[in-house]
Amino acid sequence: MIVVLIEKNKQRIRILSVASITYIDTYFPDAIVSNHDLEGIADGFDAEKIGKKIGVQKRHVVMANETVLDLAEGACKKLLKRIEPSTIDYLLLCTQTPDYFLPTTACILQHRLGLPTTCGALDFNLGCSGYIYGLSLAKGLIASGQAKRVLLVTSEIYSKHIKTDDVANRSIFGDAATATLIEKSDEDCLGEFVLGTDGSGAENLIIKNGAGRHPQKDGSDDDYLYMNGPEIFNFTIQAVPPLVHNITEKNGLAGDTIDYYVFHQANEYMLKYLRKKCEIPMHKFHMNMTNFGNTVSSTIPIGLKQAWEKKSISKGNKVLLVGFGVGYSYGGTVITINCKG
Amino acid sequence: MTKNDFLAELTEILEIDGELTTEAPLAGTDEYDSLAIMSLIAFIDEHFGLSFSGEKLGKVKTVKDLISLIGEENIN
Repeated sequence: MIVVLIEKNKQRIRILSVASITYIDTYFPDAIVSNHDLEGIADGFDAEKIGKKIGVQKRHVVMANETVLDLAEGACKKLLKRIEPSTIDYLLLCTQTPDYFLPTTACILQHRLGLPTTCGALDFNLGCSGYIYGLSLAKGLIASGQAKRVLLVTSEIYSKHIKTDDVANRSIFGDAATATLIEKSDEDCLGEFVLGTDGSGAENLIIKNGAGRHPQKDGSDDDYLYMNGPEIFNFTIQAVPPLVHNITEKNGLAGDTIDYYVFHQANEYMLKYLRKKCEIPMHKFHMNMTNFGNTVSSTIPIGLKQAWEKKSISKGNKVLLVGFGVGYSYGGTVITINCKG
Repeated sequence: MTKNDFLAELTEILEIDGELTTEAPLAGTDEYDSLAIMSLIAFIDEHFGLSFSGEKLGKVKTVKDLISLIGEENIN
């Protein structure tokens, strides 16, 4: 679909470009922590019980000298084996654990990847909703003619911000990065977006110390990632079902015309309940976090890549994506699969 | 929901062996951890359409108190 805008005064016609996701690549650090490795650190931690409940058996974590930038570079270099770097004209990087307060990680990444200096680059700070917001921004950049090839990167290393004996969070989260190419195309493959924000939940998933409000780390638990699991669960089961309804409605689709659903892979227990509540058939619902855990903004592109490689999705399929979490921030869209790899 | 069905569901949520009585303690027991509370939130949402904060559920002392919170008219 091509939308034509007519500016009344100037009588100028501008054609809004449309966009597709054409390539996705993923990158995981080498080190792996299994559930078994987490046993004996804190009282009451039962590796078998936790693995069964949250659906995670192992997760990749960075070493002390690895950073978000390193993981991002790893994901991008895989993608740029197939795409000429000089053709990238915008770099969007989603992270909450950047290398520095400043400069922007995306700027350093532009240099490391050898992207042209004419390339726009910025970081944006979002967690589990980040991929959806990245797609939304990429669509806007392409539609408005500001970019033709946007490289959207997600990279997160929560492991560096979780206390060693916090086995609950260590068992859920994993580190990873992904790179997605969104480019101007003949077919409109990024649908309408529904976005949402509720900052009243900010305290329920937070690292309090070390930034502007509490600059000094004081050795307390506030130096580390805190998650109020039950409250995040409460928020999610209230927010996501109406969000899914609004996404299908805004895209003019009935639920049964959606070929596949990729939700943010928070934990399997939550996903199973959301699937039931949203009345989504099991075979259309992506759930695969056994070997990676919750990789925050990377779970949706990892899920898309897995689904593409397992042929759960194919060209022309309509796939509903939903992200939700820290902020609170949430959003979703429907994409039409137009992947080249 | 009958009280017996409720107790059976709660036994499964807490993953305990044996029978649960209305006098059984919740807060402070090993079984009543954050995973159990997450399951309880889902259970209450699905069967009663109610929502309670994790903090409130975490402080419930006994099964009887949990039934009072959900509403005795819902579990009889």
